Amino acid sequence: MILLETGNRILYEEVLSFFENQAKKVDTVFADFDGCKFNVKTNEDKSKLLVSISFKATADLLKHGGSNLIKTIYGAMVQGSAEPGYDMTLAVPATFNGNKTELATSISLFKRNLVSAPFLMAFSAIEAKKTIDIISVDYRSEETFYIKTQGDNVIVVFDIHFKDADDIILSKIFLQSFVDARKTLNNTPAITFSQKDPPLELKGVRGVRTGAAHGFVSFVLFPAHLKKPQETADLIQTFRDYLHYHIKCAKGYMHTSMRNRLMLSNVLSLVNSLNRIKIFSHTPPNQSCFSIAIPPKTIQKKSNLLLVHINNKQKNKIISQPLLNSLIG
Amino acid sequence: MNPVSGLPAVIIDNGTGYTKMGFAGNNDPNFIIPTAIATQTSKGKQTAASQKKGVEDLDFFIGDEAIANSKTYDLNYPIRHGQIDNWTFMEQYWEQCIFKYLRCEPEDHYFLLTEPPLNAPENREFTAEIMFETFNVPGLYIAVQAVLALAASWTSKNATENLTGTVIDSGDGVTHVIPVAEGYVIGSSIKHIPIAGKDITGFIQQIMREREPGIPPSEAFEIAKRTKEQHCYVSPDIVKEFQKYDQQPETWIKTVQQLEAVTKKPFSYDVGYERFLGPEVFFNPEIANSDFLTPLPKVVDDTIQSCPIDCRRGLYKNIVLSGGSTMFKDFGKRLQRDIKRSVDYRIKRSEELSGGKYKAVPLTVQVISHNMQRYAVWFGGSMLGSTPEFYNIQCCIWWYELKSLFLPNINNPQFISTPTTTFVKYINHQKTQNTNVTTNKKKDQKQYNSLEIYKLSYIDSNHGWLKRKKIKI
Amino acid sequence: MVFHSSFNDDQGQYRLVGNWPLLPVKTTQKGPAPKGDPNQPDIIDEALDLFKANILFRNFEVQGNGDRVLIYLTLYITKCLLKIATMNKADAEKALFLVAQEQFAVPGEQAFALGGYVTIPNTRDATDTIRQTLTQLRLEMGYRLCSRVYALDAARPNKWWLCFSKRKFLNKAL
Repeated sequence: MILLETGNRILYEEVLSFFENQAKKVDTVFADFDGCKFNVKTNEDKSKLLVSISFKATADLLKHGGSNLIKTIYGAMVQGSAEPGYDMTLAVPATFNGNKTELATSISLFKRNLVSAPFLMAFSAIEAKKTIDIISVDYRSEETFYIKTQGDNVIVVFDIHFKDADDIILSKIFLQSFVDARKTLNNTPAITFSQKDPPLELKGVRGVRTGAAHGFVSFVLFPAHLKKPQETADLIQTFRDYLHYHIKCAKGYMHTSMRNRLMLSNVLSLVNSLNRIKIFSHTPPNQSCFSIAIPPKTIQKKSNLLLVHINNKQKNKIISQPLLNSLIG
Repeated sequence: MNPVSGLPAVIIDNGTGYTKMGFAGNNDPNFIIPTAIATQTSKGKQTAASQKKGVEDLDFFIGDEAIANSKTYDLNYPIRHGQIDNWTFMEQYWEQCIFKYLRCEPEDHYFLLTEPPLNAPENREFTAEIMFETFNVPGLYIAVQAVLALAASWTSKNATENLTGTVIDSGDGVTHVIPVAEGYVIGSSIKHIPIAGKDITGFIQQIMREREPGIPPSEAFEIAKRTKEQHCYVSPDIVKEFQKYDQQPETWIKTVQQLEAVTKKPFSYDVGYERFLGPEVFFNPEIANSDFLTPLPKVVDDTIQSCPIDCRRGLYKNIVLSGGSTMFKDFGKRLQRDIKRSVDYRIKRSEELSGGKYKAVPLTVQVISHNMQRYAVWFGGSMLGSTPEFYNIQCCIWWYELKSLFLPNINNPQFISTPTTTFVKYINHQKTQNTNVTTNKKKDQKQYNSLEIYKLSYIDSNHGWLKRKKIKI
Repeated sequence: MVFHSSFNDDQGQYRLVGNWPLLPVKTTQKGPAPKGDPNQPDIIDEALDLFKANILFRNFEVQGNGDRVLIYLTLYITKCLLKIATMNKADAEKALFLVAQEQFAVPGEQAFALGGYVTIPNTRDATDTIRQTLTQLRLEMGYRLCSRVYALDAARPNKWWLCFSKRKFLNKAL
């Protein structure tokens, strides 16, 4: 999987199973990306399935084209007031007799549709040769994205916050390859990224967070991209999670190669048995890695494993002879 | 709820056959998919994504999609006999569990994973390493499956809310009998039985093949599986059951009409004796298997008899079922009856041997069945993960970091294993409103909330008891 | 656990040839067995009732003399079922009548399937008695088996009986 999916699988399954088994009482809570929380439950007489979303950005999104878009897609299913604790609720009637798979798909795209709204609005503004004010959507506790029109282009800026210092470095490498991709591929959007300080596009915008943990990625979408508005909106709105997903996969990949190297050098088993010994040792192992003072008793009793491994032609690779002598002797 | 993001914890129970995953607080897992991963084949076949360079490590499928793609990809099972066998595949498996199925940002959710009893500490460390290093999870709890199954049984009205009991966990591949005393697994007494779901399916398939020539061989396995799931039950006495079937075949024997999958030809078959003979394999393994002959009730009895004498009563009183293969109707009833029989016989014998001098205090044998049995381990995790106390007792990231700073062996930072009893005391306290446990609670709280760094590890002492050892660093 | 014969607990009321008991049988066939009580199930009824359950087992611990007869009859039912697999009721009755009287092995002969279970008779008389009682049991069993197997349909044997014919009880066959 390279790109993230747009629909929510749990939501899809829940809607379908509601139609399959209407006698069943349902009340499920689950999450989606960007701190989004869903609740799916049947109402008291099980005549409706209530799909509620709790999402920090709902107010911002509804303001910027969301309310119209949601109304056109879900029509009468939008419930006037949301369930307590949630921001928006769709009520799916049990009597629905159209295509149920299509309905389930469309409901599984609830969040995607909501987040698409400002993008689609900006895209259609360009189409109509209009300009709009900068839209800011505050969608996570530390993160915001901005949409702005500039001539024929739409500029999208993500303010991405990293909790982990290593991730900042990884993301730099990752984003650099985005920039490099322009050299070999046509039609890619122009990408710039900056650390700490917001890019020029955000000049004059209030409340922009700054700091070492913040990275700003801006995309310049050209008219060619706007020909397929929904597709573009899907890709761009998942960008933040896409980035995080790939950082994690990259780390996973590195771990794999580290593990493979460890396995190849046959050291892993020895490291493991050393660890095991450390558990039995009663002395604080804060001097150095291998000189953990194992009492001679322990050696005789518990460390058969260690001795086996050392005899197993591995001694030269990891433990120096003097140390080995001190361990056994 | 995660105190920062307000999002529910993620509960993943990776079993040998199936992975159960979902969010805490729900009654059922959101996904139950095979623990299988289809990775790029080494045979050099071309797949769509493999033509793009540099993304080989992302080109894989998990679960049902893995099985569907097994023609063009290599199918692997990263878990063998309950233990993680291939860490690379497991890491990739989790990637998709989180980002494709559960669709959540792991940095926002606390995680609860499960481990088999007697898991090696290294495995736990590896798991923690992957969760913290790769996925940046804010907190992780690794719970022993059997203990979660015990906690899940508290939904039954017969259950006593404690953590002493015998867990019978029977899935597709193997059945475990695991005695647990106050939250600690009595490792030396665990018994495994090579009889589980797939053996029953195989036995049913064999019976039906001998009798029903109408079943096309290609469908035989699926039909046997469906028969097992839909029609099977446990009978108290097979001779009487055979007589019932012979006297009133119309009420007991069911005829099923079906279309062949490929040719669409109709065929029909009868479902008869296998309805009770299938599950009978647990109670008389001899009828299906020539290698393993000890009936399950006998194994349970032996297991408890091999435990320390002071906890045996508790173990007999709280025999808890978990897993899909314990779902047969009246399974618990028959098990209870058979165990009771051998216990009573033994008591009678010893009273006779004492010449009537000693009278035994009657012993209760109770097998607990409940509604959450099928995914008991997952449900126990879901229950635990939805209590506020859960967030105080996990191995949180700062512990883990401090730990790796202080331990020189950075290669493999030690994971601090939190003893399972602690959380149970919290739940117990909350559920029963019993003030007696507060003393314990306070003590534990002090221990866990302090910033002193301890290394806690399980140590197997001579008696096979797992004990918690605290080493101050 | 296998199901044992209720005639194990004989308390010396049956005549023994070696350790082979002459159990009462409800039959009109001639032979040395005492006459059975028409209101009580005899060893043949018991063997037929327990057949489907016991045939599944591979081990059988003999707990009494009744068990020896039970094992023999169980094996004999298997033999009969194999014989009548494709026959209608009339043919089956004829065939089983012949099977019952054909040459068969008795204790003491190499071919006897239950060697080790039954003591070898020490006189010619004893051997003859056992042969006669076995013939009597086989005849009666053939007759009663047919009445059960063809109870629903006289044209073909009941598949709920035939399905057990391929199993090898104790890995033995007569």
